[in-house]
Amino acid sequence: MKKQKILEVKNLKTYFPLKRNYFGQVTNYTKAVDDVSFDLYKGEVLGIVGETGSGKSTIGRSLLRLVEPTGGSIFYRGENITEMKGEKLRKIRKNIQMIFQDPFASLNPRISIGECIVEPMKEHAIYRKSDCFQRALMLLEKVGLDKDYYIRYPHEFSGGQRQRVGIARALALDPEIIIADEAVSSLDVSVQAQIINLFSDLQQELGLTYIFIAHDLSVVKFVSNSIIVIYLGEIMEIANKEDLFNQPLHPYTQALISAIPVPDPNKRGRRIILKGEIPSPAHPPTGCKFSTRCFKAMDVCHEIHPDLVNFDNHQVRCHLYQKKEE
Amino acid sequence: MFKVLQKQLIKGFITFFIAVSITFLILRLMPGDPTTMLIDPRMSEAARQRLLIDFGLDKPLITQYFLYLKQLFCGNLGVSFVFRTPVSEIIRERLPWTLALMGITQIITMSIGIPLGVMAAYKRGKLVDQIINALSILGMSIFIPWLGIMLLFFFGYILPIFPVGGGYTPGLSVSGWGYFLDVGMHFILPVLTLTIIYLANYTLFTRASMVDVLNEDYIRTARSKGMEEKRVIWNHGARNAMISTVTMAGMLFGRMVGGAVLTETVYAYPGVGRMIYDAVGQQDFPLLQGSFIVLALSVIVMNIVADLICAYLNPRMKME
Repeated sequence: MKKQKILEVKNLKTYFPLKRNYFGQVTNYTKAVDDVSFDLYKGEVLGIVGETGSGKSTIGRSLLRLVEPTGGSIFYRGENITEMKGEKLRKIRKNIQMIFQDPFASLNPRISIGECIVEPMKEHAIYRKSDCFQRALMLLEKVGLDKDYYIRYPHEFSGGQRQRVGIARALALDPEIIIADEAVSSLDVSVQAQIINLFSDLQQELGLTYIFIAHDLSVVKFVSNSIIVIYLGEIMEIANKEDLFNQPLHPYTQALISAIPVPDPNKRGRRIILKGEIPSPAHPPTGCKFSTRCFKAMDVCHEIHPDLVNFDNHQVRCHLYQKKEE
Repeated sequence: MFKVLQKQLIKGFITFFIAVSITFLILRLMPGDPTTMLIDPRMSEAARQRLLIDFGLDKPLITQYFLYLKQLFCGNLGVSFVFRTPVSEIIRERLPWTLALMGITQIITMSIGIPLGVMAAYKRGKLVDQIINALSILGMSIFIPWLGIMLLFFFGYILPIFPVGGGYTPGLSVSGWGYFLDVGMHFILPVLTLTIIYLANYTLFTRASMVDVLNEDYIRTARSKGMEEKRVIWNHGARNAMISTVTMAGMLFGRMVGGAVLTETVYAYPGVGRMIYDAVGQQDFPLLQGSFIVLALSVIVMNIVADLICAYLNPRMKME
């Protein structure tokens, strides 16, 4: 079966203004997302990993235009989302739903769980009113919540339960793509496992396509087919899961993978400890953005910005692999 | 909900008791001897003593206080020194005017101020927001009597559209619709004055809480659902921002009493505010006492109402 491309992101850039001069012109940017391109195929789970501040959430939000991208284009089934306006944009959001990181803040405290799930269905008028109610109950059950919770309010629930509500809400519109933006990172590890299992079950049942954004590689490893590693707004490496974990090319990916805890006390792998913190995206290092912390940094890394190149089924942005391609 | 009401009523009762006691004390500590007002100086000493005894002014302060409390809870507010009629009757005649004035001002300020605040918050930092902010601060800083006199001068004297004072035209023998219209015309300038002054409270307050709410994650959630922006702002934004605005509305009612005294004085409006102003000049203690108590009561009631609306608006409060 040929894979069907449903989302194509080309050179996506999202810059946030930092400073303006007296005339209101922006003189300095934070490049939260810089020149990111990837394709998403139907039924695939794409993981995006990176440290805090690497711009991975901004990518997710830019896809839905919750944050306005500065440049580039996003094609959903051939339609360019970046050029859409008003009604059309609203309609496209029906097909791409998002689950947010903080289940405590992302639910309106004044709206009951049931209303919260019914609301988007009413807004897009895709079901009859009586069906909306039935569907909400069905969704509550599907995500493992009691039907009686329909009339309860968000503050009566735990984090895991709220995240289930968030999932039910996202499913309400029967979307094609779900963007899970750090959907499990604020939950306890045991609850994380439950929610991740729920994600996988739903994917198999409903044929969903996910973009799974997380800072925890072990979480991404469990759910994803292919993985994007991002650092300071740039893609460092893209590969499918097996390739990435068996043979990580980029030093950053190697460091991230070595940091995953292994549940076996006798088997302590060599851990690569990165020096320092992630630099401020407002003042990224020159040359390769990772050069300041890289344990394999060469002179060229500090001067020349490497391109993303194909190497052994991977795409990688590192000087170690630049020449070999030629 | 019942629990909230119970709690509010107890709180209201305590507040009322404190207000009543303070009213009593303040008036007794005021300089000046009410007997000189009440009693004709040409009156003989014996007659004066008899009157003092009649009014209970010869007893020690603490006895007076308990007598006052006892009378109060029987609904007796005493007899006015000046008018020689029961205070409750005078107030009953005046109170509807003031309540109508404040009530209508509240409705108008709310229905203009809240949308303005929401708009300012939505367009934060833009020109519209800056204009709304500047005008709000201007409105808040105006001195009521000055504004009243200016409005009177322009709309009563230069352009005589509105009557220059009072609550109705004396001697006008019309009834029904005609009377209603006459009262309405007298109403406009005082309401306008209070509206200009208090509008900013709603605008700035709603703006501030709306700015916070619009930054909440659930607003982003609503947008990501693909909701219309209008509905995101109103259904998810404004309804949450309203909780704190309603609390403020209750408190604003109290502050508006002060504004009403000044406004009613400027417009010779037959309300409680104007009466308080006159009663101070005449050292009419029972009347002052009575009006303070009644106003305190209405402010307390308004606050209870506001808290109940809040509880209704906020599901988290309902549970407690």
